[in-house]
Amino acid sequence: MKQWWRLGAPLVAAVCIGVPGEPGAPVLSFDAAAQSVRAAGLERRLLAALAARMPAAPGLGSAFAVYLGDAQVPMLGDYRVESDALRFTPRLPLLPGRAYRAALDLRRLYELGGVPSRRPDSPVLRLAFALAAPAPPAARTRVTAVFPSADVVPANLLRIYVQFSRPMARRGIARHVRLLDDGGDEVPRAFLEMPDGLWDPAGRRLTLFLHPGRIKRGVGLHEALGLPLRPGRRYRLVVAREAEDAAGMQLAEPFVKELRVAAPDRSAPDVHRWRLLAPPPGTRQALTVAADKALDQPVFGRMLRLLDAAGRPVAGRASVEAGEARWRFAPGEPWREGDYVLRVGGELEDLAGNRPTRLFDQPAAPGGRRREARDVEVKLRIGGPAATRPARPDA
Amino acid sequence: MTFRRPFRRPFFSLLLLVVPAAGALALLAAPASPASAAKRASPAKPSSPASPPAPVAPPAVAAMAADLGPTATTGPIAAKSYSKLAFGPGGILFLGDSIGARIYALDLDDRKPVDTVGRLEIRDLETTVAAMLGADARDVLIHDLAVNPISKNAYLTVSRGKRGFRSQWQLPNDVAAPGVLLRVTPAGEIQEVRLDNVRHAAIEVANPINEAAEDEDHVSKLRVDAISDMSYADGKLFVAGLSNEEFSSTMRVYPFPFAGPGSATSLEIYHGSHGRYESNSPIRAFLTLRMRGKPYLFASYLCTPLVLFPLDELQDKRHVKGKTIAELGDGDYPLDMVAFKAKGTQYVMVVTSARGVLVIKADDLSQPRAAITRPVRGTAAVPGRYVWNPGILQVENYGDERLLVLARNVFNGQVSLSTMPVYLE
Repeated sequence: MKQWWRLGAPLVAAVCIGVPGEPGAPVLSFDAAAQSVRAAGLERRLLAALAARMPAAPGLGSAFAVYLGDAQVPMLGDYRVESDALRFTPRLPLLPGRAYRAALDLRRLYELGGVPSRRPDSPVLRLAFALAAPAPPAARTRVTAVFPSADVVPANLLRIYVQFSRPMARRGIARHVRLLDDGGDEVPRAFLEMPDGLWDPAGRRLTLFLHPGRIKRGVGLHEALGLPLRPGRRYRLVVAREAEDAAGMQLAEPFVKELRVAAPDRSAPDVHRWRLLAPPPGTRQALTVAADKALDQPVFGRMLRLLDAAGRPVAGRASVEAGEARWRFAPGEPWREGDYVLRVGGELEDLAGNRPTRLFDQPAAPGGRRREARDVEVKLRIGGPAATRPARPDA
Repeated sequence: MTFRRPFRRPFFSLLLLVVPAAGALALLAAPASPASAAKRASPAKPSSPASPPAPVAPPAVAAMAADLGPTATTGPIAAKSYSKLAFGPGGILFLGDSIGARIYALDLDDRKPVDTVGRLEIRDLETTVAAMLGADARDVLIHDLAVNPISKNAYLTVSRGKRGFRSQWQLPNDVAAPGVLLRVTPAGEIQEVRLDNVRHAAIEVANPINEAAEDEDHVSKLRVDAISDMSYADGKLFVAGLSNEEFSSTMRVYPFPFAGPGSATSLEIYHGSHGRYESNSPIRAFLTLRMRGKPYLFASYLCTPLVLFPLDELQDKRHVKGKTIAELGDGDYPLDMVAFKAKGTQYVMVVTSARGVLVIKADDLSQPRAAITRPVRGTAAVPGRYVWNPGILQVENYGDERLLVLARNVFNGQVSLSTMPVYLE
């Protein structure tokens, strides 16, 4: 057993052999967040030469390899050239509680890059790391929420968000997520095909796009296949147990959400029909904003800002609730009597991707221009009337 | 460490006891080289089984792109499960996706002819694959094997899902969706075949078995059998599996290059050891054969009838009853079938999980045989003879002189991928 192979807790033990006098000596490290191994501090000309040979990168595994335990054959994976590093991400998620080792043969790497090494005695860098022990089954990852949370959705629903309790493996997730019709058959090409899915930075929220080509009227897929969701029909969104989390463990249980489909929604959200329930001054009671219809959950949460009379953002906690039709804002400080402004970002979207100033599949105006999305501002007075319904400025 | 060849010569000497006879039976679309069999390995143009080995094609011809038809495109393969493999013309690899109900025709640019192959032996393949997948060997599942008849590269679909087994009745594709494709070269090198940018054509499998359907014991989802086996012959891809119809066992036939939806025929058989007609159990392994001038499907089912269907009856939207010619006995799972030629005689090999390796002289199959239409206890009308079984899981043609065999040793549990001569030197 080699000395570098001693392992402690789930920590990274990098063994780095630097070359004095050269800035950014190569170093291997394990990036736990990305579940990948980085070889940093590489010369830019070497990285550029390697990048030119991507993505095939034949033989890179002979220069930069990551192994499970005492395996003699390196793991399959992807190599990516970054600004100052070469990154290896394994093909399948790393396993909890397991020890890994990585080796970077610099001399071989220069050979593969076709770049002469300035240090012919380039050493082999080695790294040993281990992942935390597996979680007990009770603590397994599960689906905690799906948005839209309502059971009834418009036929031209644009996105579905799947929230997981812990970061997921991401890779190959599309194989584990399916939309089934009321006969139990998979709806073909329901989602935009992204084998590794579209994730938030934490890897906990998966965004599924219902195939935009099937929703937009006048687009080939829509004309050929129609909407993926048919009005009046029932569907099931299924996330298979086999979906793996970032620790390589399957979900605690498969997840199923039933959906009933209403008529397509081809109307813009009307901010001027929203009801703002202003709390009394001097309290920290939440301000609630009841929208005219259910909205895209993360976009709703992101697009609303409360400003004070001077135009400064008011600090506090915002949340989206009531089937994504209500925005709730609890201020950090008690309300002061006076005027406030609720600024609604122009990119606010409803479940079908319609914006306040533009429908999702609205045809371009003559001349090929689309209407720009504009912010909408709503005035609000704390200490004024209990309920505020903004007047239409142009009414 | 002592090394023992998993397939020993006594087996082949058994083959030689069979007197070669005039071929009343020929493989459908008999390949250009004598012993490359129809199964998963046929070039487009049939030729006489007695023709000499095909000359090595010049490299310029070899480098020509294969015809994928008008729907060919280049991009990523978004399959949900790499369920079944079969080779078509010009080095095209068919990849069946049961869960996604699609079949992909992949042009992997694997057309460099390798006319003669030597011995190949990869011991403890699961340990090597496990290292590549970042898993323990006990978690590795090898789902299917196919050999490119031109280059002799072997392809394997693999996953690390074995820990997911919940019942002894589950099948590999029910436990895990294979998502990694590996290539084993004649030199024994194992490489990953990336499918993120590949020239391909695809066809939807219409009306596949419902995703929610389960077997009687609720241990497995039937959808994994939307595609249960595939074989290419004479410009057509034959696909066995389950549909969503009342009689769900179906044979689909797609002209290749893909054009139009193909045909789907529901199949029914008399199952002697179950004592009833059945139409919901899929074909597990099959070959296309020509017998006395007429093309047939030679199919094997679970528990374990062998059945013939005339190919000309496989019309779209028809319901066809096969002729059960043998019962290999209950509790047996047909793992694979292959046809090959040894010393001028054609054979069909049926590999099953329980009773082992059945080798049938092709001429025997073409003799008039009574249909089994009454209940059978044990076995009935078993053709050919059982030979020594090294634990074969999958078998493929590997040039004219050899078979390529994936086998698990019953004592050490290790899986090997090895060549076997089809006759005594």
